[in-house]
Amino acid sequence: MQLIKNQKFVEDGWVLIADDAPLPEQGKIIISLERFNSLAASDLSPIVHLGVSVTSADDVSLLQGDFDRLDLIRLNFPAFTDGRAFSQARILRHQLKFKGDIRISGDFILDQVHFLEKCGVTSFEVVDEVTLDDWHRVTQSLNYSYQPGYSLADTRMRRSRPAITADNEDQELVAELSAA
Amino acid sequence: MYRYDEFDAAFVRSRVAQFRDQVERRVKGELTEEKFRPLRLMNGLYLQLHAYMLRVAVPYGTMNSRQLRQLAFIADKYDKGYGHFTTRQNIQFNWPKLSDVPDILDHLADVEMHAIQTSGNCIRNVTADHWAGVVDGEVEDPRPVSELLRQWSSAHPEFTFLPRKFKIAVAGAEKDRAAIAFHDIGIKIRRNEQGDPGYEILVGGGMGRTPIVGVTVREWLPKGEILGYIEAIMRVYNLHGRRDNKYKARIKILVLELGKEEFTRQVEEEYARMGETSVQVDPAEIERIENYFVPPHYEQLNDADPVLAAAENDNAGFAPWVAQNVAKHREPGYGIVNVSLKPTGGIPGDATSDQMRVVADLAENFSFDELRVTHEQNLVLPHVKKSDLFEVWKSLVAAGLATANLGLVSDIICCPGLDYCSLATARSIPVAQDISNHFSELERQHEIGELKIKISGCINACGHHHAGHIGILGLEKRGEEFYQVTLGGSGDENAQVGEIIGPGFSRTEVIGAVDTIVDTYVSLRNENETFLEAYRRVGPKPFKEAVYATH
Repeated sequence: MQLIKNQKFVEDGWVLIADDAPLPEQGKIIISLERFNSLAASDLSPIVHLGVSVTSADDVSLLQGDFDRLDLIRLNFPAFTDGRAFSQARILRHQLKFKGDIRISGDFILDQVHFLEKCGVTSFEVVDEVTLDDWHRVTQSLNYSYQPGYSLADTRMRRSRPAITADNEDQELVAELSAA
Repeated sequence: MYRYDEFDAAFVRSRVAQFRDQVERRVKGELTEEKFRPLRLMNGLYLQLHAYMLRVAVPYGTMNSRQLRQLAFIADKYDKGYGHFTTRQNIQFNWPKLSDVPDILDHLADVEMHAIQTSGNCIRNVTADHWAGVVDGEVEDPRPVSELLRQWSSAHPEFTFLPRKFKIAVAGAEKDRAAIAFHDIGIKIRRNEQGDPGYEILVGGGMGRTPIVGVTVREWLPKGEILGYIEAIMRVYNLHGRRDNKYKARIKILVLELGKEEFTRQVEEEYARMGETSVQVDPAEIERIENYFVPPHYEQLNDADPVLAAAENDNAGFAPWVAQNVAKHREPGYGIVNVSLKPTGGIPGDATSDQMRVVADLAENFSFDELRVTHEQNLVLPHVKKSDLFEVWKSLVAAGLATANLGLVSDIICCPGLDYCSLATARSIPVAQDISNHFSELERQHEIGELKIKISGCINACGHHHAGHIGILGLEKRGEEFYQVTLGGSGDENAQVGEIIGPGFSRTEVIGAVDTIVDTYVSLRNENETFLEAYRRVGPKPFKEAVYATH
């Protein structure tokens, strides 16, 4: 598996911890939502960076109260035709203003990446063999959008028609994320 | 009608280039058929029984002459010289080669057309009343909001991988000619008690194997809130629509399983949570779109036209055509000309490239360069001066397009069926042809009056049989085609699903059954009572008795 973030391959500093494995005391760890929900605050080391992995059936809005402790939320495509992660990302980023990394895993395809970015996804777990050239060509092939309200976290800020005015707060968040 | 600005044009070109790249990746083997499938479907490309089929969008059924001529050109160059107009106001080409499709899409883009989202599990081409803007009794023209929805839904980042396909239809009048109650979302433009125009929103209608009439989730929505409210509905559906069984994946099943109240509550909750500002429509953009749909510059005319009256007297075939196929226009001295694509024994909805060019010329010369495609698979010249009707009729007669059967027993809706479609379980076109031949005498058709027959070649119901006054569904049992008959369906403002009358019929029996049903109606009807009115009065019993006594 390779990780793509901001259109580049990057080192994945995060470790996915199986439900039956012990919890590390430090580092960047991703645990399942089920495990996360079963833990008390005191079960977690205060210096660990925490990510949570959800399934496409989970209600991500229930995580809102935990945003302070979460640096990453990992969404999943059980099949590339299952588009629930688009709405989950949109809810997290746009409605609930989650500011951490939203990561996509599972069976998504290259042609979905630019839509996912527009919904607020910031990193991609890539399993298939892919070159950066392919990635850039395919993910940037549709340069126009009728939904400027969805330009969030898309740092390339492609042209879009102002049919729908984007939320000002979103624009600020875009600026923040771009700077980060 | 709507014209692309630079942005629309660039969007469509960009989309064609994207698809060209996808086709190349498919040809090179970088994309498997499984992964290519949803991508080609979202560009209107199906793999059918014999070949690829390309479905071209005609947004809300409105076209100009240049566009129709381009379709004729494509039919000649890339197909076998004809096209098939569909129940979603689109046109299908049955024989394109995969490698030609990007070029065809470029030809379409040359005339501001595309095939985007005419298939796939996404928001499909938005349909509307085919008499929009010209018919009496309209609250507002449904096309500006349809165009807004077309743009909003095009390559939507969030709603392009839905549980199943999603169809939206808009009606601008109390009289529903868009079958909105049989759509995933139906929008009816209506006034509230204060007299302000807004939208009634229906959700969860549909045909297929589970035919359901949609339910109203909002009686009246302010116009400016339409995109936000639709977004809320789409999000609830995208997250909660069933994905475990494709036959239960349409929004109608979600509405059915949750119940209208709970579904509505979830939508309203989502709508409230979204906040107000995220999807406000820029009024300047709305105005820009609406300006494209202002009425053309009509002449000030008397409604009665002496030329027309004389021609009606002198030409035997002309008067019945005017009476049946020309509808009342809201402007005095004009008529709405309905061009029947249902000649006796023909294939419903098919038009040759020559016929397309004839209609294009007529639209250009006599109808302010505008024409429409109807969901009943006919064409419309929406603004023809009554003094020009005779000229128009003569041209249509010469092209085999003047059958005076609008709304009559031979004006049949029919899906392509087993002659083309890989999903079909039985042939539908030959049944339509048989019925059309059986009732070929126009006088008898006029005597019978309004009667909508709709034929589907499988349970997916593309031929809208559930909404047919007489519906025919082609099925297959032990290698034999057989046909189930339903009665009393209706796709209008009193939408209703037809009831199955009993055991099915063989290919040869079904024509006799239809004939008996028609005879039964004629013998029991009251004065001026249509088939549907009579059926609603007497119910299925007399029809069942007559049909199963003789068969």
